[in-house]
Amino acid sequence: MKILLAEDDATTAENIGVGLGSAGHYVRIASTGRDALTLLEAEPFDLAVLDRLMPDGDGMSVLAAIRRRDRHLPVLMLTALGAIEDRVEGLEAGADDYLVKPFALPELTARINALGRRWAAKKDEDGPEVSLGWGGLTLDLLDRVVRWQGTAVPMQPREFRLLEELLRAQGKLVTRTMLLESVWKLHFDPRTNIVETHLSRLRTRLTDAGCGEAIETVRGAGYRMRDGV
Amino acid sequence: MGFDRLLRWRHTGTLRIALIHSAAILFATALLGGLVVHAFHVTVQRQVDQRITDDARSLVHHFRKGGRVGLVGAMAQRADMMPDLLRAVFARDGHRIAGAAVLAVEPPGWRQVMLHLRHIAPIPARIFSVRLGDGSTVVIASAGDAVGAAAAPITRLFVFQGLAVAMLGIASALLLSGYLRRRLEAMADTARAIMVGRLERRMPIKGDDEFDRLATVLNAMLDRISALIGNLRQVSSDIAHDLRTPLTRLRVEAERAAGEWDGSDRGRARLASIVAQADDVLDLFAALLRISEIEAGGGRRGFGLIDLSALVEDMCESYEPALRDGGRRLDWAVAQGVAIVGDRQLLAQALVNLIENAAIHTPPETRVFVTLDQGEDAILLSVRDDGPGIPAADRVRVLQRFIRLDASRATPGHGLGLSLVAAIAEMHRMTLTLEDAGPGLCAVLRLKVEGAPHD
Repeated sequence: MKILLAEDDATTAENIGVGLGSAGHYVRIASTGRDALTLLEAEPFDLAVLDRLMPDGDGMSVLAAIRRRDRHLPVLMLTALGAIEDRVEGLEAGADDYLVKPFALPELTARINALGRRWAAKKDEDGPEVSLGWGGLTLDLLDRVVRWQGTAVPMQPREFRLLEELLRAQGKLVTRTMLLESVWKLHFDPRTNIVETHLSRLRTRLTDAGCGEAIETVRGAGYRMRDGV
Repeated sequence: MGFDRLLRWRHTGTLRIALIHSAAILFATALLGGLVVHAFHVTVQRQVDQRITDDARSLVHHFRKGGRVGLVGAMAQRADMMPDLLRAVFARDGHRIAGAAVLAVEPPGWRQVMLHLRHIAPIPARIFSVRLGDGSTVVIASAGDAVGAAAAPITRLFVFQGLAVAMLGIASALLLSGYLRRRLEAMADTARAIMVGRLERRMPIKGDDEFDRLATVLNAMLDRISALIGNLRQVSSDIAHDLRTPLTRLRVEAERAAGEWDGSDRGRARLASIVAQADDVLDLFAALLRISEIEAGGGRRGFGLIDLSALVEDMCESYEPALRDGGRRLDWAVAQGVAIVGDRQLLAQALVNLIENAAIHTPPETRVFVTLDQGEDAILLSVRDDGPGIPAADRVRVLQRFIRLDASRATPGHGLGLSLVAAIAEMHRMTLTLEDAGPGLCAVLRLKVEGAPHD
């Protein structure tokens, strides 16, 4: 994907740029809000990552300018404030996701992948998905049933939601905080790793059904579906 | 309602002042009335006495001129002319020669007696007796309370005036105290709003009286305080931003260095440890900022109507497996349909912190019990455990920042968990109390249910 990164701190921008580059994205860096808007005028982008606080006005005004021009460009806001109101404000202003600094690079790449995926799905306009699949595993979104090679696997609603998020990522990393946000609707990180405990139960159910080790743990980052299931 | 207010008069200073003022006016009226009635009494008494002595002098004169016959004649004549005075003349041996039958012989001079007439109650009378030259006695009496009867209208007048003063006094006391209470209550409302974080609120100003001048001064003070708080917050958020950016850089650098590391495993572990410790410091920063922000009363934008029952059940279901894996038990009893206005994220965080505290600071096999109750006047959310508990003396202290009891030195954390819960509770107008669960600890969040829980 071609990503616009608006970040005033040069070192942070470089690190993010290198990180996203090694994840296969093409990144253009703007160090001010005005640069960001100029770049957006000049080139097409697939996604924008905006810092909330920049020297010449905040990311919010850039976001407003973007939304005036292009209502569909996925935007991810970065903030150092970690404020409760900022998140609400950012999402209300039309940001698609929100990430509080500091973050681990895999967290950012995982969220960018998820945004890109959602955007692609929206562009296809195939209508709402009715099922997800990964190898021999299928997830019926209407009946809320998981099947392994045609046989239903019994599952708690929360485990179903976990598996759904992992299948949507299609083998890409899904981080712990992404799961907390999407499955639990929690925007803070509890000390107890509740994702891990529920995921281990999901794993047990899949193993018991004969599906084997379908979910892979990426240490310190999150989880993804294992290839060749 | 006015009567209630009268009963509570000791608690309202304005009503007390107004009532004392009315009482003083009433007392002055009573004193004045008493003096007037007394002066009137003295004057009328003097007039009655004057008439009696005039009468006596005239009778004595008639006796000297016409002897006993002249005296009796004059008495008969006067009884017709001035029937309000009773007269009688008695011989030396005391038998009545002529005059009113009710009178008896009296020693010379003034006397106050009761006259006993047939068929009616005794009547008070003022009597004057004179000894004549031949040893007989003339007795003259003014019967009935002529003085009292004459003073009665004046007394009544003053009693009515006193009643009127008392009623007007009470009415004006109620009106005055009501007015003062409204003015003061408006200020108190503003102060309460400011206390819960609405720092932009100012005292109401209606005109230019004493209250408005006080409000103006208070508003100037509030402006000053707001400016100072604003500065402080700006500085803290600048510090947070300025410190977190280089810390983030450090963390990212260390992470990249670990990724590109081509040396020994120990070196890689060291780098990983640097990342972890940078994360720890950044977490501490985030937690501190979050508490300050909540305490400053910001973040009400996230407020909405939330199904507290669903939230509590959701959190309990999510934590039950984690506690079970740690060898503890989590049970819950949640009243259905409890809804409050609040921030779902913050309330979830408060509950999570309480559950985690119960799980971290207790030995395995501890049972944790979460309850949500909707009482008549309060909503109660409690997290109880049967662990070692917290000594009574430490229960208030642990709510402060960075306070970690000796018993929990070995567990990870910054000592901010409970202060965050306290800040969230305060923001939602809840009270957080730590109680003895005998054995163990019971943390209770209590929300008073009133007509309108939020403004």
